[in-house]
Order: sequence, then C-alpha cells, then structure tokens
Amino acid sequence: MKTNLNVPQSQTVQAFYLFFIVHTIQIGAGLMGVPRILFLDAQADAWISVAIAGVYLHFIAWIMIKILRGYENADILGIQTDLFGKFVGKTLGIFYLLYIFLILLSVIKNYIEVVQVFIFPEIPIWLMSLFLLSLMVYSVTGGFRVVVGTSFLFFLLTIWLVLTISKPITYMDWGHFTPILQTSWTDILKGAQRTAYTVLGMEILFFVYPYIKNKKNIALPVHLGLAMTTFLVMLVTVVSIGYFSPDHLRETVWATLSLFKIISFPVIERFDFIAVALWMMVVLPNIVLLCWMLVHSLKRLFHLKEKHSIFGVSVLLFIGALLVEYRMDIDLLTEWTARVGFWLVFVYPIFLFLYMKLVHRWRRRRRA
Amino acid sequence: MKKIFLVLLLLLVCNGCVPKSYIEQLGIITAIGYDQAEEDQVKGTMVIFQFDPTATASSQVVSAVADTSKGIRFRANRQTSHRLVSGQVRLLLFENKLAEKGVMRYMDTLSRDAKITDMGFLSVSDVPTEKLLKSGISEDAPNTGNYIQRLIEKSIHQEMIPNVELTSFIHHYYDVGIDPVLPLLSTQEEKTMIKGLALFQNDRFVQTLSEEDIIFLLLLKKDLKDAELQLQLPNEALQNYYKKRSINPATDGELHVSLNEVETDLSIQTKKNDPVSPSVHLKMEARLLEITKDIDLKQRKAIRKLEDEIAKGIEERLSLVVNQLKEEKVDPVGFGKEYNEKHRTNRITEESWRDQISQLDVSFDVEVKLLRYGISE
Amino acid sequence: MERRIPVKKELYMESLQKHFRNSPDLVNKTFTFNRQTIVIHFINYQVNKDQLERDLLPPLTNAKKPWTMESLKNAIPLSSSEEIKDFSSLARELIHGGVSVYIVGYEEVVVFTLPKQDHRALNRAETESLVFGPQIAFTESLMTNLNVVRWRLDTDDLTVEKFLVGERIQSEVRVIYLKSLANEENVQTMKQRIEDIVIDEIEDSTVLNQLIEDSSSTVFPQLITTELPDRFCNSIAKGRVGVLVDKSPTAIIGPMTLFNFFESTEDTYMRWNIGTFIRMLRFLSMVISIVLTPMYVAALTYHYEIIPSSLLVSLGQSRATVPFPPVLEALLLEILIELLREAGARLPTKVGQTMGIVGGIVLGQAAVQAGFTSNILVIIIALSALASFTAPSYMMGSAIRIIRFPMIILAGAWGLIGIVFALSFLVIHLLRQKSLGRPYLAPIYPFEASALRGTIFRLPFQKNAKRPSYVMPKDESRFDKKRAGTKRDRSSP
Repeated sequence: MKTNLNVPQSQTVQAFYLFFIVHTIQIGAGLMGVPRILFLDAQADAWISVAIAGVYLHFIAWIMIKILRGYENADILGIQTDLFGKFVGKTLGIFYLLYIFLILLSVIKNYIEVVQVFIFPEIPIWLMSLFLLSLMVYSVTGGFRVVVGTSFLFFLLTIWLVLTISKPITYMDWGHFTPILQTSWTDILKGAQRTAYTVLGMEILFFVYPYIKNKKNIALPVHLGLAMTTFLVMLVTVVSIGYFSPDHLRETVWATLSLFKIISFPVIERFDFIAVALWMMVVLPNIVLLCWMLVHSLKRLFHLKEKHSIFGVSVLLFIGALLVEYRMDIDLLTEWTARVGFWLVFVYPIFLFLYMKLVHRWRRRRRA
Repeated sequence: MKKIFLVLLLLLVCNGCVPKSYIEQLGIITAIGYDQAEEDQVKGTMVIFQFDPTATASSQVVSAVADTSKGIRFRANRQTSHRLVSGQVRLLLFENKLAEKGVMRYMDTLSRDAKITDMGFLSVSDVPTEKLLKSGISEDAPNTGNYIQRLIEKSIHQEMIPNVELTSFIHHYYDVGIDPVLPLLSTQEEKTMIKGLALFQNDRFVQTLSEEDIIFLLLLKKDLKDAELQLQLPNEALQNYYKKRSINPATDGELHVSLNEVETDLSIQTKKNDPVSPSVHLKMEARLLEITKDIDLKQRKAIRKLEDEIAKGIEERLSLVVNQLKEEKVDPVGFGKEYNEKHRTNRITEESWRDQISQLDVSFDVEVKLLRYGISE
Repeated sequence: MERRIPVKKELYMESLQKHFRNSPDLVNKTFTFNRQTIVIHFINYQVNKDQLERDLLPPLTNAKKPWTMESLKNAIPLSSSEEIKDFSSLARELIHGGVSVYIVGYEEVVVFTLPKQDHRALNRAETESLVFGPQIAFTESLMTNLNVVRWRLDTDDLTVEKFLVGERIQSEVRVIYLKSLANEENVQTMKQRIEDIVIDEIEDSTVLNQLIEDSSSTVFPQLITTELPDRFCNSIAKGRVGVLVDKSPTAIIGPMTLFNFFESTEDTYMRWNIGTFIRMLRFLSMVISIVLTPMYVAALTYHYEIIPSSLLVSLGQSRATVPFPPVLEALLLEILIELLREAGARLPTKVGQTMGIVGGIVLGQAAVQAGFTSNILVIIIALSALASFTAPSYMMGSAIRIIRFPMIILAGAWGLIGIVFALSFLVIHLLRQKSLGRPYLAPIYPFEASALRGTIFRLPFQKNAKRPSYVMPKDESRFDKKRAGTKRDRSSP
C-alpha cells in the first residue's frame, strides 16, 4: 500500500466543504439523546462538560492536522503502514474498519428506534434499514463528490431546525443551572467523556485529507465545523436542562426530540413528527460519509472494488440491523461504540502524533 | 440492476405497509375527564371527534369505568364504531375527589407516550367531569371540551391563571421546592367557569385558592406583562385628596381600585442557610383603570399616597395568600426552589421542605407606580 | 465507389429517370442550339420557378457561342453553381432544389441551386409565452433561425459549426458558441456527443436533445430546449453552447443547471426586485407542488396528530363521505388534472378553453358533491397543479408533475417517513445528475456565492459583474463592476 494517494483532480473538493463534512458526520443520532446522557453524569453542570469536550475537540483536530501535514497526501491507513510497518498498519486499519462499521450500525439502529417510538411503532426494522441503506448506496455509488454534496445539501436542508428551538427556550427555567459547579469535577469530566458518542466522526479528516484541493486552508473549516458541533450540542444540552426538570430529564431518553414536542405552527400542530421524520436527513450524511470511509478503506486495504464493497457493507449492515433487536442491545451497542470511539478518536491520535514525530526524527537522523 | 430495484420497490409497497389510521375511521379524543368511581376504579369520560357522513354533530362523549387510564380507552372502544386514539388530546380534567389521591399516575402514561402532546391543558373540577363534559353549553366551540380548552387558553393568555400546560405541570411536579397548581373548574347555571386555583402537594390536590387570590399568587410566581388587578383599600385612606368641587359626592362606600396593564418585576431574595425567610421584592407599574372615590389626580401627593396605599394593600393580600399556602403546606411559588438555586449549603429536599413550609416567614416589599390614569384626571 | 456521370445523352437521361423511379416530378428539357445539346433536369416542386425562368433559362438559351463547363459556371449570374462529377451527389442536389445543366459530351454536370422553401414567417412564441420582452420565436427553417441568431449576436466571435446527423435521412445540425467565451471542454463534449450519435434519423431537435443528454433515465431535463431566440442568444452570450437543428423550431442550450430551468427571460427584463420575487415564487411553487399533496395524504392516512385542531373537524367531515383511502383519492384527482391538461393541449384552442371550464368547475364541483373526493383535496390538488405550471420550462413542469405520483404513493405507504425518503432520494438523484458533464445543482453545489446573484436571485445588473463560473466561461468578468456602478449624471446648474 502506498502511503500517499493519487487522487484525480475531478475527485477533489475545496477545503471549504470540510466544514460540512466534519460537522454533518458528527451531528446525527448522538445529538438526539445527548442531554440526558450528559445529565446523568454531570447534572446541571453538563454544559461545562460540553465546553470541555469542545475545547478538547479542537485540540484533537489540531493534532490530526499536524499528523496529516507530516505527509504529502496521505490518509490514516497510509500513515499507519508507514509508521508501524505493513502488518501492524493493516491491523490497525482493520480496527478502524470495525469501529466505523459499529458506529454506522449504531446510527442506523438508533434512528430506527426513534422512528418507532415517535412515529410508527409498527414500522418493520427491515423496511427502515432498507430505506436508509438504499439512500446510502445511491449516494455513495455516485462517488466522492456526490457524498460531499449529500453532506452539504442535507446540512442546508436541516439546519433551520435549530431555529425552532426558540420555542422551548421560552419555557426554560434558568434556575436549573444555579448554583453552578454543584457537581464534582470528576463527574463533569466523565460527562465530557460521555460526549464522545455525539461528536464521533471527526476521524473522517484522516480519510478525506487526500481529497482536499487546497490543503493549506483546511484548519479554518475544520475548526469552524467543530465549533458548530460544539455549539449545537451545547444548545440542546442547555435548553434541555432548562426545559426539563432534573428528574424528568433523567427519564427522557431522546430529550432533544422531546423538545420539539411543544413546537407547533398554524398548519402543523405537532412539529415533533416532522422533526423526527426530517431527522432522517440529519442522519443520512452521517451514514453516507461513514459508508464512504468504509468503502474507501476497504479499497485501500484489500483493493476491493468500490461497487462490491458498497453492496457488501450494506448487506452486512442490513443483517446487523435485523439482529440487534432489543432496546437494551442498542444501548449496549451505542455504549461500546462510544467507548471504542473515545480511545480511537480522542486518545490514539496523540500517541500517533508523538510516535510519528519520533519516527520522523529518527529517519532524518539516519539519513543525515 | 434497475429492474431488480423496481421489483424490490414494488414488493415493499405491497408488504411493508404500516397499519393505517384513516382520519375518518378514528374517534379522535380531544378531552378526557377522570372521575372517581367505586372501589378504586376510575371513570373516564372522553370527548371525541368522529366523522360520520350522516351525523350533523361531529363530536360525541363516551364514558367507561376501568382500573387504569389506558383501560378506559380500551373499554370505551367498545362503545363506538371508530377507533379511539389519543394523539389530539388537548384537555385533561380530574375530579377533585380523584385529584386528592394524586394525578401523576394518570399523567405518567401521558408524558411517556410520544403520541401525546405536551401542550395539553390540565384542570381540576369540583363537579364530576362527566357532567362537565356532557353539559351542552359550549358557546361557539364544537363541544364542551373544546370550550373549556379555549377558556383556559384565554385565561392563561390574559394572565388570569398561571400556565397549566402538561409540560409545566410536570416541570413543577418534578422540580424540588415547588408545587404545581391547576385551575379549578366548576359549573354555574350549567356553564363551566373557572372557580379558583387548585393547590397541589406534589401531585395531590389539597386546597382551593379563591378566584380573587389567584392574581396575588401570580404576582409571586412570575413577572407579569399585562395583567389586571382589583383591590380594596381602607375606606378613608385617601380622604385628604378628594376633589374639592366634586360632581358626584362619593364620600361613602368602599374604596375599590382597579388596575390594568399591570407590569411587574419580581425578585425573591433568600438568606444563606435560612430557606424559610425569603424576602419578596415586587416592582409594579400599572394603569389606574377605575377608582370608586373621586380623587384629585392632578396632585402629585395624591398619586403618591394612592400608590403607597395600593402597595400596602397588595402586601397585605400577598401575606394572606402565603399564610394560606403555609397552612396547607404547599409551595406553588417555589420559595424552596428559589433557595436551592442560590445557595449551596443547607439545601432543601423534597421531604424536608414539606415540613419547613409552615415555618415560612416571607417579608414583602412592594413598589407601585401608576403611570397612566385613563383619559380623565 | 462513386458512380460517374454517363457521357452519352440517352444513357444519362435514362439513368436519372431510373434513379428517381420514373418520378413524374422530374422535369427534363433538352435544348439544342449552337450545335450543342443541353439537357436540364430539376424536380418540379423543389425549384423556384420564377428564378429559374428569369435568371437561368434566358442566359442559358441566348448564348452566342457554345457553352463550356467553365463558361457555364462563370457566365450565368447565379451565385450557387457547382460542378459535379458524381452521380449520387447529383441526385442529392436535385432533391435539394438544384437544376442540373448537362452538356452532351462532358463528364461533369453543373448544378445551380434555386431552392424553393415554403415555411412560416417568424411568429410569436407559443409554448414559452411572455408578457413582455422580445416575442419572436424560432421557425422550422434553419437558415431563418441562423439569420435571427446572427442578427441578435452581432459579433464575428460567433462560431457556427455544421454537422450532419442521421444515417438514412440526414438532418443538418449547427453548434453555435462564442469562440472567445465558451469553454472548450463544453464545446468539445457537445460536438463529440453529436458526432457520436448513431441513429437512422432524428425527428426533431428534441430527439437530438434526448440523444445527447447525460442521463436518459432521469425525468429531469438536462439541457434547455427553447423556442425563444433571446433566451438562446443570452445563454450563448454567457458562454454556453447552443445547438440548432434544421426543420425544428426548438433550440438546445447547455450546460444547464436545475435552477436555470426556473429562470424566465422575463425576469431579466423586469426590475430586479420584482424579478427576484417572481423567481422566488417559482421555487416556492415547486416545493408546494411536490410536497403539498403528499403531506395531505400522509396526515390523513397516518398522522392525524399533526392536523391543527381548527382544521380537524372540516378535514374529517370532508373525508367522511369519501369511499377511497386518501392515496387513491389523491391519485384519482391528480390523474384527473393530468387528463384535463392533456385534453386541453390536444384540443383546438377554442374548445380547449371550454374544456378547462368543464373540467375545473363542473367535474370538481360534482366530484365533491357526489362524495367522490373531499373539497379540501380539490383545493390542494388544484394549487399544486397550478404551482407546477409556473415553471418556465415546459419540460421541467412535466418532470415536477411526474415526480408527484411516486411521492403520493410513498406518502400513502409510509407517511412522513415516505415523504422524507422520497425527498432525500430526489436530492441525491439531483446531486448525481450532470449537464454536459457539469454539475447539475450548481451554484448550490458546488457552492458559488457570486453566482447565486444571477441564478437563484436576480440582483441588479451592476452587482452581477461575473458570468456564472459553473458554465466555466473563458472570461468570467462581464464588465468592470466599479465603472458600471457609477452614474455620472450631469449635475444640475
């Protein structure tokens, strides 16, 4: 496997789109339930956890960009084989593959679960997964530019949902936040760690880097995208804590979606139905980008044909979606994904960075 | 490839359908009333919309007795040709006898059900809700349930009662140091009216706050924007400022003041380690709408005096209301919550606060500004 | 293998007669003078007789000395004279209105083209009607159309290239672009695609259009077909490539994006704010047209919760008498509307108007009263049909009307989820489309802020100094923005 990729000009996109890529892969299934998960650990100070997590995100992004800048046009798979040798590099690559597959599955499962709870209790799982997977296949077979376009357009099509939050804001009880810092720092940090599942996906930077046209300008859109993610997570967390009573929030699994329950328009009485249905458009870029990562890695690692791996991946996902049945299993899946993701996305890059610096210095010295 | 896809799609359309709920086959429940029935059972009365091509009236009222709230719907389903669904419930009524035992077990299923709106209104009634919902008088609304819903909606809008949407009830129920309130409905000559405010201990209805006192509780609960307020002042409080050349010799009779466009700014201060002695500071701006004595409003002093008297009168009424709350050990104002939000030590809990309420010693400080006096002076 | 022209007179005449299968329309005349025998041939109705008798026959017969090939070509005062050696091209020239002059003894024939063509004059546009602005439309004659285009685009930069398409029956196709502006890749793609066409004949330019489009499976048109010379020329002036086909009154332009199909030339002629408003209205009406009926179906089939309480009673009561599920009801009405539209299009104008009244009022009213449909649905369907007709491009309007059907079916099968699925599918589908290899959703994706001014909005011309870069013109700057923005009015004394 070559470390650096040769990407034809027609497949590359402007760095500007990294904002949407990074942002839309992070926002998705996780956002639906993040307020409660944070609240369980960090209580009313969950917003501090989000802030900490947000700052940490920027730090990791900075490290990631540093790693990528160490090479000309490489992705993580190439870098790993370069640093650790062929065998270890490939093994680590497979690890990434499994992890991406896990998030992909958990995203699909979580969204289906939400649709079943909020709109159609009777809708069969196989049908919903078929919907999502067919859209995914349709988009990914279009190539990288269509994938990026999906992420970009669906962002534009759904971002206005943020504005509807203004109604729950009027119902907020700011007293729920005071006095601040009642929770211990360890709990707040635990909360920050729990944010991981929501903001997973920024590792896509490791994969799309070779496909960016103007690589010099990637820092700004990446950091803006992360800031946008942090802002959204912060927004729903703060509004949820203010809107729900502490005990109520503990019981509300999808707090973000429950916020939509009090929004109504003159022509639509219950906006939550629309919001949950539209959430498919929020989840879709997620799925599409993750699937692209899978397909891309499969091609890099095993030289699989894209068409074959897309269909292979979707069949596996379909089977996976059917096998995981109980709510408990979904939670378990989500938790495992979050745990693996935390180490792989938020800790591993630091080691990788240090190791890369070491190896590069050693090589330079040897050359000299 | 494309053919396979098409065949798949066709298969989907044929097989993957979800159960349909055609609107014309549904009995859409818009209001539910719960009454106490014998032996711990509840009787539910539901106002439903159902659409028959022949019937002139589209709404119907059905009752059923069961052990649980969902059981009611199950039972009632046998009485109508339409499938009863609860996705459009906008009003929940509880008979006072039932409410005294606690309403949360009925509410819990509601708030857990994603199909049910959080915007529905709750109310307590001191007559059986069945009677209330079956009474025919509903003004121009399609049914009584709808009429009550509009009545409550209007009252909230005009700041006559606090917000009693399902979401705020649950909010206050779950929050520590604050109790929920609901409007208390009653009938007068067959027509439904708001009689007062039902005070709750957690989810149990304990006492009624009379209609005249509601506004004073509201003053303590939130900042008002455009409310109305009636007050009786000591008869001779303003006798120095009567108009000299009065057209109507209004010297006797009681002194009533009526204010509107009342805008308030409320702040409750709590002392450290002392949750039971909060002080309430209330700034009020209002328009004098009516006064039963002929006061010379051109004199600045007269206005000052009037403002002071009103402030004093309000303070008195406020402490009366608080005393009533203390007696019943309820805290709809949220004094406990207020303390908890400000202080880290000696925090109150759900249990401890209930006993502390009776020790409440609230001090009031009301400032009144009369900004406008209508078109005559 | 070229067949040579026979030298012997009898053989020559016989072989021509045989070639045209003794057509009675093949006229031959033999003159003998100056000790020379001359045979002329032409097809009766293909030749302009006036010109023949005025400009060709008198000088031909009044000659003082015998004709030679050279003198024949030079001494006759007609511009189009051609020397032909090949028999089959002689035949083709005759079909195209040529008059062949054969001098016995020569191996060549001189053909003078005196074509007679009857076609309509330049008329008002019919399918793309405008309230104001230039009103003429292209005609069926390529020469007339080219004439109009040349007249509108008064620059020697205009490049016209000729192609012949069709293996059995050939049609003349012209690719038109501005040499200094049009992107070479676009021109190449267009030319390549026209050259690559393998077909026996093309019926019309719309057929050519379908043959050169990027994807033939989608319902969305990828190249604009227009009968308006002003639209055609404006597009070419922006750097696009145009195609004219003989015998067809519709011109083709590319590359195009989805949003170009919602532009009308009228937007340009109107004040910018009004133009922008109308353009926004069209986008809105597209959304309404696609989403409104499915929403009705979804709400009434599955999501009674989202219906506002104030509408619930009237909706429910109007539905109570209808014997079909909402999907079927909506589909029936949609088909009814399509029927009306189709019938209106097929019938002569005067009858067509009556058709509208009959369909709209009588049928709609009766359907509601008979309990066949709910009156609210009639309003919704009428509204969305109306909205779909606002698309300035007839092709796009039809596309939007077509995609409504699967949307309704999906809404009937899975409610809101079906609708969102369909919308997502639509968006991805549009993302995958290309027009002459250029992205179809530009300037939204790939995003280009400056091109929004002229495509999505219609901002004042002074503000819009760039040509949209998704067309990839060689020169993006239209004019100097700074100079265009200032008006140096003479200050009043």
